[in-house]
This record gives sequence, structure tokens and C-alpha cells, in this order.
Amino acid sequence: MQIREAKIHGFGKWVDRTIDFSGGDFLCMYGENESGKSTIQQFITFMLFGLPPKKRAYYRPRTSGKLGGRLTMHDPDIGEFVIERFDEVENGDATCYTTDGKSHGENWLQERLKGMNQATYQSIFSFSAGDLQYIKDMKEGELDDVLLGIGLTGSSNIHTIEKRLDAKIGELFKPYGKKPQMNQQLASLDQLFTSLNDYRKTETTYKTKKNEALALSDDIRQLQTKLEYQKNTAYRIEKKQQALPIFKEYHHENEQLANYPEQISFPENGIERFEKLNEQLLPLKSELAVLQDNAQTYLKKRDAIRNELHQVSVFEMAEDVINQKQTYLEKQKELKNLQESTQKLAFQINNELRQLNSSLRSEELQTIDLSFHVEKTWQQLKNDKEQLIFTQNHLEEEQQQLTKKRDYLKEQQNELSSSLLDKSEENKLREQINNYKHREYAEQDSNQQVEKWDRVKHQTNIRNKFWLFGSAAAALFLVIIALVQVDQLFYGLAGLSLAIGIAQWLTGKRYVQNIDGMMSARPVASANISIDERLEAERKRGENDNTKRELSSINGQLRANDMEILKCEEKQHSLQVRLSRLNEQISHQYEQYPFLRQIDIAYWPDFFQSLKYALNLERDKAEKESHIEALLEENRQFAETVNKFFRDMNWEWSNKSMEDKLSAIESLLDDYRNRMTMITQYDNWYDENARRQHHMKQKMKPYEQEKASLLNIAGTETEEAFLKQGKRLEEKEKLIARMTERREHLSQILQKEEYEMMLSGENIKGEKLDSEYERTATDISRLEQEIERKRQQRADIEADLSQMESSESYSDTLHRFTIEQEQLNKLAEEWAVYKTAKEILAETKRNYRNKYLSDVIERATRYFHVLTGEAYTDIYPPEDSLPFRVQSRDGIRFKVGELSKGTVDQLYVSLRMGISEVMSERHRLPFIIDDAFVHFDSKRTKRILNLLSELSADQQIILFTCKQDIRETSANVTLIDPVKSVSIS
Amino acid sequence: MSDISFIHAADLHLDSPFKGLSHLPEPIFQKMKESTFEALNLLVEKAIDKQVDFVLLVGDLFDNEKQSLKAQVKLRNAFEELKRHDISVYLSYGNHDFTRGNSHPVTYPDNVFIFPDEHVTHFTYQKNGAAKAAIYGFSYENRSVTTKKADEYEIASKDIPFHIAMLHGSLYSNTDHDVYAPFRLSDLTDKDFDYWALGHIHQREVVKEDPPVVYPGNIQGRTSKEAGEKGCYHVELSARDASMTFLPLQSLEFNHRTADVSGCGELHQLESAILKTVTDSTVSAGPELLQLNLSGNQAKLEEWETSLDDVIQLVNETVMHHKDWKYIYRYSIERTLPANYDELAEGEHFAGELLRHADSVSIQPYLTELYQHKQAKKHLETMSHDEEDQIKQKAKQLLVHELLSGGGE
Repeated sequence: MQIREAKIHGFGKWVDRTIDFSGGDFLCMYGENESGKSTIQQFITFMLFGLPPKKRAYYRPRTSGKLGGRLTMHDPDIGEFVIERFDEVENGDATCYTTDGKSHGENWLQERLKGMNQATYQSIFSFSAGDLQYIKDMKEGELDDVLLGIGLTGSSNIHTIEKRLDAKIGELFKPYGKKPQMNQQLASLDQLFTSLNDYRKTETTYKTKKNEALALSDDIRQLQTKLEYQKNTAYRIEKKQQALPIFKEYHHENEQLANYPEQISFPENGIERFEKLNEQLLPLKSELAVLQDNAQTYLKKRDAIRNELHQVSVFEMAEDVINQKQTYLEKQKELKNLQESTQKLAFQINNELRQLNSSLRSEELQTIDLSFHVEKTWQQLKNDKEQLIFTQNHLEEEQQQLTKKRDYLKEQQNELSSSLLDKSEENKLREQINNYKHREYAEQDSNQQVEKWDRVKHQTNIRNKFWLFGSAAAALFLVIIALVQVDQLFYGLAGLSLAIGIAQWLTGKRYVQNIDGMMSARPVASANISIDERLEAERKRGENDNTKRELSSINGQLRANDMEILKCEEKQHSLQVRLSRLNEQISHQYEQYPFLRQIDIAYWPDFFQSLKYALNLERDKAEKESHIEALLEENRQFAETVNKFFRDMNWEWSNKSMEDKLSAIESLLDDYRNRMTMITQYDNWYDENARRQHHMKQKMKPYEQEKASLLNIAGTETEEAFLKQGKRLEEKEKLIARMTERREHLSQILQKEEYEMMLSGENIKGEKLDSEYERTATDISRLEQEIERKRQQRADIEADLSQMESSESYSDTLHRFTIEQEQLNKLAEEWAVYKTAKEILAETKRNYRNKYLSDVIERATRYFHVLTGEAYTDIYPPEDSLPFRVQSRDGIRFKVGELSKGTVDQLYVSLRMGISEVMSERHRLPFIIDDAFVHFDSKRTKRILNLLSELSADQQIILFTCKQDIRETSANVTLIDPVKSVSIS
Repeated sequence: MSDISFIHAADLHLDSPFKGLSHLPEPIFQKMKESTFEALNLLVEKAIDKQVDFVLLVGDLFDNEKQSLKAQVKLRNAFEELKRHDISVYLSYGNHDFTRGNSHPVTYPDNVFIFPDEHVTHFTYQKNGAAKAAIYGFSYENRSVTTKKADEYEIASKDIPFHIAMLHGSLYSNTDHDVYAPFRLSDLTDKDFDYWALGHIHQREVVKEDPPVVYPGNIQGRTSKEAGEKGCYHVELSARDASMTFLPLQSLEFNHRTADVSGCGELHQLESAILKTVTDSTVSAGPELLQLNLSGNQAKLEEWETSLDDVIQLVNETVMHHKDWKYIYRYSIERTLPANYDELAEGEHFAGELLRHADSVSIQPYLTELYQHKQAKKHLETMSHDEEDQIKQKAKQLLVHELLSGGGE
């Protein structure tokens, strides 16, 4: 099979290139280092065998997205066909096109390649300088095997594989070893297996133990049944023991019962009824007794009281006295009241008289008689006198006033007459006043002229000052300009301005001075008469006029006064007449009532009233005193009656007061009345008592009858006998009841047959029961011990069982054992793989050697002969114990180790060529050599090229090189230049 | 409201050792060891929670061959707990716990009704004094029952409303397992039973919906083959229909996981990539024993192969102590065989020769050294043809890989 053309669409640095391989069977591809030779080789292998995606990605061109191309091949059987591979088409699988226009898949291609794959291809049909390098590094001892491997496979790794397999196998297992993994694993498995068996044995005892436990449980159950029976027996005995004394009692009572008669006649509930009747009678009886007793007492008491009483007449007398007592007491009281009021009246009278402040005594009062008109007369006299005195006083006063007024008027008249002015003086004053009025008008004119001048002067002064300062400022300004401008003209202007200002100021000043002069030259007018003098003159004339008018008025008044004084003297005279008449009447009264002398007439009416009151009091007093006398007499009579009673009674009375005496009589009366009441009461009670006694007896009657009937039934005479019979009956009944009770008790304690047996009178002995009980108790305790022992046994076994149940030893060990066994099997499998691989490899090697080695060696010898320049003639493969050998021209055989490095290289190349040639007989694939001869000298290179050329008759050979001499030596050279397009030289 | 409700479970295999676990750290070992019991406890809990009338356990409650007393004791404790909640248990023994092989006769409480022998009999379930359901079944007396037991099932009384059959056995067609008490589906559905409670097959399957013919599977996976959720069925039967709810009970799951590590350029990235795959809660949230497959750059993976053990151990250390722990108990590298593996055998070259040779030989003679070894023989399982073939394939792969992977560097 030959490669004709490679069309690279994109692969590594190659994009859209076509390389022609059709130039001949032996092709030399020349290119410098890094020119892309290896990439072309990779492209060819890619086309032939494909590449995994990762590697494809590595060769993806940097500049183009495409990866892939076509390879045109020529096969002697089917002719030309094209292999096409693209990264993105069919995941890099090949499509092949044959000349008949059919397309085929990857499988078809592989058929063509006849079991060749990339790795095999590279080891057989392509080799490079790098392969030689490996030979050089090889140790001497291994060289044989390696060379043999190369001879057989074209690659050197069979030896390595064998070594590695041996090591692995040894690590895993050695039949007699201890250390290898599996040997150790086996040891630990044995151990686990032993303990697993132990645990298993322990667990198998579970069943036995369980059965034992069950058997024990059965035993215990049986024993418990027995125990139950024995306990029951013991219990029955206990009960019989308990029943025995009761039975004895019962027996005794039965005997007693025989003593009682069969029948005892007695009323039903006789005693109870009898007692009940008695109970009801008893209170009635005792009540009756009490009543009878009371009746006696009442009679006795009544008689005693009667004996103690006085005769009835005494009481009648005493009653009389007491009847008067109230009257006496009232009179005593009245007497006392009267005496008190008389005293009070006497005191009042004296008091009244003292207030009147007259010489009157109370005794005198009785002599005075006041008739009704006296009061009126005294009143009249009083009023008259007061009238007269008032009139007299009034007149005197009037007279005095008139006199005073007349004196005053006279004085005024004199004063005014002296203050009047003379006639001459009056005229002079009038003239002065006229002069003054004339002068006032002249002064007002001159004052207006002065004010006008002052205003003009002031304005002129202000104007002057403005002119002066304005011109000075202008001058200063101009001087500054002049200084700045340095111009004479401005100096001149400044001077001029100043001069104008000064001239103006001077003119203004002079004008003002003129005005001042005019003003001071004006004359001032003088006055002849002052204002004060004029006013004085006018006042004096007014005063004189007033004085004249007042004087004429006073003269009028003096005349009226004189008239009044005359009238007053007239009235004085009539008054004196009336006074003397009044005094006459008063003297008359003094004679009649001398005590009036001491009293001013003005108080007479009041005195009359007081006196009249005192007289009334005096009359009252006298009346009362007579009443007192009467009362005293009556009382004296009463006291006599009382004393007489006392004497009659022979009571001590002299020292006692009236009250005591009366109360003594009263108590006597009370006492009498009380006793009388008591007697009556006792009589009443006695009657009541008699009635009740009768009633009581009626009540008692039915009970008595009932009692009699009870006694009758019992057939007894007396109550005692009745009761005795009743008691007997009761005792008999009680006995019967007790016996019933005992029978009941026994039936409770005993079972039915035991009870019947006992009552039927079988003889039971206490001692026999005791011994029976003791025997049973021993049985019980024996059984209990037995049960306890068995229980203990069972508990022990159950503890064992539960320990076994909770034990995980067996389970745990089983799991561990299984895991370790798995581990062993896993290792065994691993071992088996290595072991099988080793054996197969060894066998294959043997077979292969027998099959191909002589062929390979034969061909290799040819190459070796040529390469060594015919220095060596033969190659001998290892046989039995003999290593690889070569024979030199002179027939001497050398071991590989004895050869020079170069010779070994040549041997290597020879072997590679040899195997390649042998294999190519079947595969006929192109042989690709990549500068494998770079280290050979030109002579040898030439030789090898010749050989290759020869070989290429059967097999296409493509030689890639960067060596100029090889290029030159070769016939068909293709230049590989990545820059330029590839051409054929 | 259903007329009756019950839990249907089978193949508890309490305390049976797990298969295929060769090395476990102590905490995981403990969890593994207790897992069947935890599943059982959960079953009891669910039964109480759902207030079911009874529980059906259709055979293989434990393994006679490797039975531990612990298994039966725990079972008894579970039954006692059910008794406290007035839940009856109907129990039949299967091929693994056949009655004649039971060496620990632990006594169960009286709420447990056990089918005594290989004759199909029935118990009547009473509810509120009325017969509610008849439950039919039989127990294996010996290791195997090969007769067609399905024929023996007959409705006892038409007066009882529900008829439930318990059958530990397999379909004729199922040849993956030992075929016991074989039946055809029609054998069951021809009879007028309301529910066929099956056991024996560990993979749960509702064989038929109406009437329900159900394998509940086992309650706890015990080998890498028994992956995913495991549990029981909560069944509610009424005159009209039957509802079946699967209740997961497993305390840990066996699962396979593939970690794509093609994105890892360096060894240290590997750990986090694996960790991510392992803790991916979208796949499974509970505790898991994982078989990990690494896929990615072949060459890189081979380069890292010697360090992979350490990486896996690091990952395990991280995840095995969580509440929902994970543990990678086995891992493998996905090897892409040369595409032309068979073609290669045709080649004249050494590899071709090797493959041809390998196919022609039996490997047994190579292995006698180990398998006839006195000590090893005891513990090793005899190799089946399949296993032999597998080993041969692995050896071939190994050799071809080594030969072609570029000269042993």
C-alpha cells in the first residue's frame, strides 16, 4: 500500500496544503528543523488510524477552524482510494472513497489495514532517532532481552512488561511466603474463621439452653400446683382448729337449754309493755302526790296569816287618818307658799319706798289715801310751771341781742365817717390819669425799623464768607495742577482766583459796617409819667366812692333796732303776773301731802305712779297674812287626831315628825291589805288544787286497768312475779339466739361437710389437728425451697440467654470475616489477571519467536552486513542460555555487550528494518523513517539509503530528514517548506 | 379511607454480610453492619405511622447459613414493638430461612402468625370482630421448593372481603436467580386474589397492576448489584381499587457514579472533581456506598494511577463523616479499548499473535498455584467460567495496553 497524496485542509501548522507522495517508492522529504515534518507524519497516522478527540483538538490549526484532510492511497488489490477525515464529521471517523465511486466507513479501512493500529504501526513501520537514543541508555544485562523484543515486535517494552508482571505477582502472593498481601490476608482470615466458629458454637447452645429453661418452667409449674394443694390442706386444718372452741361453747349451751320449760306463758313483749305503763303512770302519781302536799301547805299558811292580824277597828281608824293625810299635806304646802309670798311683798314694798327717796315709812303707807283727781292736779301744776319759766327765758334773751346790735352799728358809723377823702385830693387824681393815656401811642412806631436792618446785615456776612473760601479752594486746585503739569499758566490762574475771592470779601465787609453805623445813630424817646403812678391814682378814687355808699346803709339799721327794744319790755311785765298765781296753788298741795316738799314739782306725776304701786302691794300683803292664820289652825287640829291614834296604839310618838307618823300608819295599812290578799290567794289555790287532783286520778285510771290485764295474762299476782317470769323467757330466747350465731360462725369457718360432720357430733381432738398441721407445713416449706432452687436455675439460664441475645460477637465477626474474604477474592482476581497475562505473554513470545524470529534475523543480517560495511556477517538470536550474538567477518562471535555503541545502533536499526520487512509482507504499509540515521557517517548513510531504496520496491518508504547530505544522496526529494507551496524537485 | 391497609416487605436478609465490600473503615463498617436492622426499624416505624392493619413478610427474613442470633432477636423486638401498636404480622419463611435449618428458635409474640409448613394455608385477619381478610401462604421447610406452589392457592371463603396471597418464588422466565416455587403470571391472575405479595427477587417490581402482583424487593441493598432505593410497599385495599406506595427503608444505598475528570489538567484538581461527583445531591441525598468510575484523559489517568488510591482516600475522609455520608468502596478507570481490538488480533505482529494465543488457551492451569494452595483453597470462591473469561479479558487488555502504550517508558 502506498501513499499517493495528502491534502491537508487543516492540521497543526498546515492549512490547505497538498503534498505529493507519488514521486516514487522511496521518497525523501527534506525540511529544516521546525519546518513541520513531524506534523506531516502525525497527519498520515491520523488519516490512517484516527485520533481521539483530545489529540485532535491539539492539532486544530490556530488560524483556521478546519481540522482534517484527505489521504490518497494506492492498494495493489483494490487500486486507488481516498481516506477522508474531518474532526466534525462522524466524530473523526474515516470515510473512504474508492475509484468505483463507492464510499466506505472506518471498518472498511481497518480491514484494509489488516489489524494494524497506530501503536503497532509506529513500533514497526516508523522509527526515529529518538528510538536509538533509548538503546543507548539500556543497561548491558537487559540489552539481550530488549533486542529480542525489538526483533519480535519492533518495540522494546515486552521485557519491561514481563518484569512488571513478575513484580506484581510477587507482591500479591507466594505459595510459601508470609509477607505478600494475600498471604497476610489468608493468615488473618484463618484467625477470623476460628473465632467465627467459636462464636457460632456458642450461639448454637442457645437452643439447648432455651429448652432447659422451658423444662424448668414446667417443673416449677408442677411444683407450684403441689404447693397450692398443700397450702390449702394447711388452711383447712387451721380452720378446724379455729372452729373447735366455738363448737365446745355451742355444746355447752345446748345442755343449758334443756333446763328451761318448753312453754312460758307471758304476754308479748310483756316486760316492755309493763314497764312502759309504769313509766307512763309514774309522772302522774308523783304529780298527784305533789298536789296533795300543796293543798296542806296552803291551808296552814292561810291560818297563820289570819292569826297575826289586829282588830278591824284599828284599821278603820288608820284609814281615816290616811284619808285626811292628803288634805293636810296640801294645806302645809299652801301655808308655806303664802308665807313666802308675804315676805316677798314686804321686801318689795320697802324697796319701792327706798326708790321713791322720800321720808315715807311702810307703816305710814296705810294712812295715805290717794283720790283719782290728785294725779291730774299734779300733772297740771307741773306743766304750768314749765311754761312760765320757758317764756321768761326767751324774753331775756331777745332783749340782750337787741342791745348788742345797737352797739355794733354805732361803732361802724364812726369808723366810716373818719375814712372819707377831701375834695381837693380827689380832683388831682383825675388829672393824672388823663396825661398818661396820651403818651402810649408814640412808642410803638420806632421798634419796627430796627428789626429790618438786622436781617440785611446777616445775609451780607454769609455771602462774604462763601466768596473767600471758594476762591481759596480754586487757587489750591490750580496750584496742584500747576505742580503736576509744571505749567506757569496755572500758577497765574491760581493767583487770579485768590485775588478775586479776597476782593469780594472786602467789599461785603464794608457794607456790613455801614449798616451797623446807621443803626447805632438812631435816637431813643423818654417817658414823663410811670404806669404805677397812674394805677395808684385810679384805685384811690374807687375806694372813696365805696365808703360813702356804706355809711348811708348803717344809719338806716340803727333806727329799726330801737323799735324792737321797746316791744320786749312790754312782754316782761305780763309774765310776772302769771308766776305769782302758780305759787299759790303749790303751797296748797304741800299742806295736804307734806312729803311732797322734798320732791321737785317736775317729778310729781311720776311720784304719783310709784306711790300708787306701793300702796297696792301693801294691801296684798295684809290679805295673805289673814289667810295664813286660818290654815295654821286647821293643821293643829289634824296633828291632834294623829297623836291620839298613836296614843291608842301605844306607839312611841313624841319624837317623831308628822311625816314619820303618817308613814307608820300607812305601812300598817299596807301590811294589812297584803295579808288580806294572801289569804284570798291561798283560798283560790286550794280550790284549784282540789280540781287538779281529781283530774289526775281520772287520767291514771286506764293505765291501772292495763296493768291488771297484763298480770292476768302472765297468770301472776304481783308485779314482781310478773317481771321474774318475763326475765326467764328472755334468757331462754337469748340462749337460742347465741346457739344460732355459733352455728352460723361455724358454717362460715368450715366447709359444708366439715360442718355437718362436727355438728353430728364426731369426736375431734385438738392434738390430732396440731400434728396434722405440722406435717403439712413441713411439706410446704420443702416445696417452696424446691421452687426457689428451680427458679434460680431458670434465672441463670435466662441471664445466659439474654446475654447471648444481646451479644453481637458472632454477627460482628461474620461481617468482618465476609469483608476480609471479599478482600481475598479481590486480591485473588488481581493476581489471576497478572498471572494469566504473564503466562500468555511468555507463551506468545515463544510461539512468535518460533514463527518469525529466523525470518527477521535473516533479513536483519542483511542490513547489518551492509550497515557495518560488511564487518559482520551473521546475527544469532538468544538460544537457551546463550545471549544475542553477532559474527564478524573473520568468524568470531561477539556478545552484544561486547559490541561498540555504534554497532549496537546498527544492530537495532537492522532488527527494526528486519521486522518491518517481515511484517510488510502481510501489511505492506509505507515505512516512515524520521532522521533515524542522523548519527551515521555519510558512508553508512549512503549504504542504508541504497538498502532502503532496494527495499522500497516492495514497500513505500518515506524518509523525513533535515540533513543536506541525505537530501543530496536521495533520488526523489520533496522539499518541505511551510512558507512556500510544496513542490516536487 | 381504605378498608384494609398493610405493609408488604420481603427478603429482609437481616444481618447477612454484604457482598463485594473488601475494605471499610470502622465507622462505615458499623453502619453497614447495622443497616439491615435500621431498615427493619424504619419498617416498624412506618407501619406504626401509617397505622396499618398488618405487616406481610414474604420469606428470607434472615439467612440460615450465616444466621446470627442477633438477627432473630432484633426481629422479635421489632414484632414486639408492632404488638404494642396492635399490628399483626403474617410471616412465611423462604429459601434462605427455611424452617428445618433454623437453629435459633426465638419465640415471637402472639401478634405474629407464621405459616408453619409447605402446605398453603391461610389465616383470617379480624378487625372489630369481623373477618376482614384471609392471608394465604406457606413456608419453605427445606432449602428449595421446586413444585408449582401457585396451583395450591384457593380462596377459602367467599364471605371474607379480601384475599391476599403470600408467595416466595419466581417466574419461570426469570433465570437470573434460582427458580423456586415457579409460576407464570397467568397462574396468579387466573385466581381471584386481591393481592399477590411476592418475595425472593431483590429488585422491586410491580409485575401487574390489577390485581396487584408485587415484588417489593429487599429492604436494604447488600451488593453493588442492589443499587438505589430499597424498601417496602404500603398497600391500601378497598372494594374498588388498590393503592400501592413505595416506602424507602434503606439505611444506605449502593450506587454507581461516574466522575468525568477530563477537565482536570493536574492531579490536585482530581480530588475536587471527584468530590463534586460524589456529593452531587441531585443524584441521591442519603448515605451511599459508591462504586466510582473515572472517565477522562486516558493518558493522564494512567499517569496518575499510582496516586489514585490516595486521592480516593482523601475524598472518602471528607465525605464519610457527614450525616449523609458517602464512601467510595471501589473505583475503576474507564478504559477505551483500541477501536480495532478484534482487528488487532488479525495482525501478523506480536500483539496479534498474543491475542490469538490468549483466545485459544484456558487460564485454569496458570492459576492452580493459588487455587490449589492448601490455605487459600479454604477461603477462595471457586471460579466460574464467566469469571475465568473476565480474568482472561483483563489480562489481554492489560497486555495489549502495555505493549502498545509506547515502549514501556
